[in-house]
Amino acid sequence: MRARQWAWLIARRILFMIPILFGVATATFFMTRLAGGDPAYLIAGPFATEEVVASIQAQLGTDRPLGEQYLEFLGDTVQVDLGTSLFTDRPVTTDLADRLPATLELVVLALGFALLFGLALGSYAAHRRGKGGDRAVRIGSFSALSVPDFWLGLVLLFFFFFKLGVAPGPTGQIPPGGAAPRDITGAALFDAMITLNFEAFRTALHQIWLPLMTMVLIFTAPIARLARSAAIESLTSDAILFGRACGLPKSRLWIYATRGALPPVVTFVGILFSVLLGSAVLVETVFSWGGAAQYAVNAIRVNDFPAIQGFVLVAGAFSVGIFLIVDLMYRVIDPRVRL
Amino acid sequence: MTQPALSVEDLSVEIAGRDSVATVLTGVGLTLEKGRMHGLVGETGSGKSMTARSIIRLLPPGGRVTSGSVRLGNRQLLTLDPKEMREVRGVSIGMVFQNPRTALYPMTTVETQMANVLKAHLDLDRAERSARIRERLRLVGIDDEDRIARSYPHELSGGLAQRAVIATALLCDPEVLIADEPTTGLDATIQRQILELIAFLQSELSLSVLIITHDLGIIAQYCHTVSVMHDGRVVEDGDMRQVLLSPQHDYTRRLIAASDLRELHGERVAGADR
Amino acid sequence: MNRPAPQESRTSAAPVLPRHSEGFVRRLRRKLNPPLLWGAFIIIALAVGAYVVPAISQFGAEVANPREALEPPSGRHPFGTDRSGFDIFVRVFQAPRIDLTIVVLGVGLGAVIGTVLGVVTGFSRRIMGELSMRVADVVQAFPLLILAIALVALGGNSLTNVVFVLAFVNAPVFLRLIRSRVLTVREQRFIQAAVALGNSTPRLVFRHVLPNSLGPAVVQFGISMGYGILTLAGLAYLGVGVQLPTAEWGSMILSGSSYITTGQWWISVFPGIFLAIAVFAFNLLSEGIEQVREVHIR
Repeated sequence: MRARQWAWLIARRILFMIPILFGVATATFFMTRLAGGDPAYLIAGPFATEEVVASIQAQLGTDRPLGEQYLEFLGDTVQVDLGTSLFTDRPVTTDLADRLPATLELVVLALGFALLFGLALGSYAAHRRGKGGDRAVRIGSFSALSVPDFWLGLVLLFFFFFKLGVAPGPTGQIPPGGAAPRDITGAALFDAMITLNFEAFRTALHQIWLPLMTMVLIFTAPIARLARSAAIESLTSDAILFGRACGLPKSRLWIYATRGALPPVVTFVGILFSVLLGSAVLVETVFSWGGAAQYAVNAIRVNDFPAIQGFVLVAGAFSVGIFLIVDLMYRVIDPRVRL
Repeated sequence: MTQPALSVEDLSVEIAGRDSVATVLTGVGLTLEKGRMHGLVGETGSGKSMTARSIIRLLPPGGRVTSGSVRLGNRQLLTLDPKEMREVRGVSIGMVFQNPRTALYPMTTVETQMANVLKAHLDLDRAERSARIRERLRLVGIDDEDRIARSYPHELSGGLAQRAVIATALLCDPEVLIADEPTTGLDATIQRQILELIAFLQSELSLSVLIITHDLGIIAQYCHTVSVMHDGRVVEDGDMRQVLLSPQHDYTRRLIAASDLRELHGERVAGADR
Repeated sequence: MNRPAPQESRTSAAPVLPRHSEGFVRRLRRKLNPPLLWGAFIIIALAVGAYVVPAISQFGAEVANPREALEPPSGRHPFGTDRSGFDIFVRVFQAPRIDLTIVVLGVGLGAVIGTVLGVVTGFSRRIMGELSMRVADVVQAFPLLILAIALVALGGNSLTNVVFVLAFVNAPVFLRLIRSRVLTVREQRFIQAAVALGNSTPRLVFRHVLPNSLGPAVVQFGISMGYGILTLAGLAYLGVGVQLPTAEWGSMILSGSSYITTGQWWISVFPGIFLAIAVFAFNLLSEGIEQVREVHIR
């Protein structure tokens, strides 16, 4: 019974997503056009002759009316065709599919650790409210919010690679000549894990810990702040008072309060995921990570219009997808909003 | 006279605010005899709830007992260490609060949170816990205890939720039940049911009940003895009928004048006779 | 009773709204607090320093000196020099000229657009209102930084373009905030009283609704400014937007990024510290404003 209700809910949510994804595709098309004008000029460069521009226009189809181009863009997008990269000369979807797992591995791991540490620090601070530990968490997280992620990555590189020599340089997921797992998804750590390639796993772990630490250090902060205020609210709730009056042990009350603080944190994760995707663009560049985000940065440097457009679209679609997952998770966690 | 179940003497409490300290209780004393229902009555802010929270030592942040003693049987509660105090809460004293729907933990089922209380105090196995939870739910007048046990708090009505709260408070057979405005958040008809339930439990289990209310009608109908509080002090106390029929203190008179006490003169005179 | 309220009362207290006669600015003046003062002080110091330090320094911020390239910090160059021999000390101080200006313009423009649209959509629920809300929804679905990078890159690296893109990505936030406040405030009794007294719509909006709706947006402005500075620097770090030799924190970090693995840390580290301080100052400012609001509401 329950299972059927859930299936129905998920189906409904996915149906809801269709118009939103349609909006995302539309917005991508018009925003990139509005900002960039006819991509033919961008591709041709500032010194191209009219004939060159005209031939590129014909090739891209940008000499036709905008409405027609828009419909064609939508049609192609539905068929998972984002055009051909002008730089790699391969379909943008293939390029992105190859590189996206590396980005997602970094982002998802960063999100996971940031959640873990953020929740722990936040509920710790809430329990020590007004005392030294609370102040330390509050001041620390407030300051961490101001630190630029790409700069922190460079500083960490300086210390752990140049000074201490315990981390690899910015050599990406798999260092030159390092043990590589069989390429299944393109996310090195994950591939090594599922192929039980211990050697490659160690290499991948060695490569990822610094970029991961960069992102975790920064994104623990907003979660800790939110978790703290949510935990304070749930600690001062009637339910906790009643629990104390029933003589529940401290550990149980701690679990109650942390669990009670989860729903707002989970909602926030939806927003944070999209911020993390943005952050990945910078952090990947710092560490030459070679994921989709760095692919997009390279596309920007060489004016690879289809690749830029494709990445924006995929990033938007991913954020929407995460909102769906967050919405469902919220229902799992909080029994008050269900089905 | 036998030893009282609970006695409070000369209790003074202050609360530190951001830049000032306010005295909220001054020299409060009260006695709850075994197997009796004692009412603590007064207007909002008179210190009734603060007295209750001092007894179980759960004052709001900044609160501090400056003098006095709280004795449960022959145990002095104010000097117990936190671990012993935790055993007192739940095992010796059960407490019921005014808003049942927020008092229950919203994230788990009724059964789970009741089981957590049992786990905290008693060494029972899963089946024994489950049996006791259902037995207590039946005790508080819930017929379909299986369904209620599996429900989440938000799925319960106010009356059912308060019954579940009372069942939780009674899980470990406390001698004393403190009910802090147990009916304030409820509908009028439900209020009556809950009060009848508490009175029933009091006589059935020979509980000693301290009931806190601003409603003299409740005192008149259910209590054996009463303390009247005003501005952080007990201004008058004693046998319920004596206090209400011949009040000595000016504040008590005003309180009586302001309420509608048909019960005192009508058929249903006072629980003291029960 | 003058007893301090117990902790719970903060959550259970009725949502008291500011008295409508008192403007936000007057409230600010009544209760200044340390975060607010420190935030404002740092921002002003950065702005003043951007003109004073280059004026008294013996080095020009955009004058290369290859003979003194890649020098570590010393008495002569307190923060060292980069590969072109730029003096980093002067440059980190001069950077707010471009950083603060662009972000104030960009986020400010976004805030104004968002506020205007927010009031309009909050007041008249016509088709335009619905439409701009849906557009805001969709724009906010994209990661802000990615959208900003792509739009600046596609639109060309001009500074005006950066300003417009910052305005575009920030406007939806303010639209949403203002709209939800306006929807609440317009149902307040004093607004209904003002309508009953025959106030004209513009007077209603400017005298009554707007002053009482701006609070959260002002707090958000501080946060958006901080994030705006990070965005601008991030763009420059990717080579989009502000370019060398203009003194800008992000592009300065970029110019030192390839030297970090060979030990010349100062090129990137000092601009990053100043960048963080600037963002920190705006976060402080918005925290301070939030506290002012809380004090008032309580």
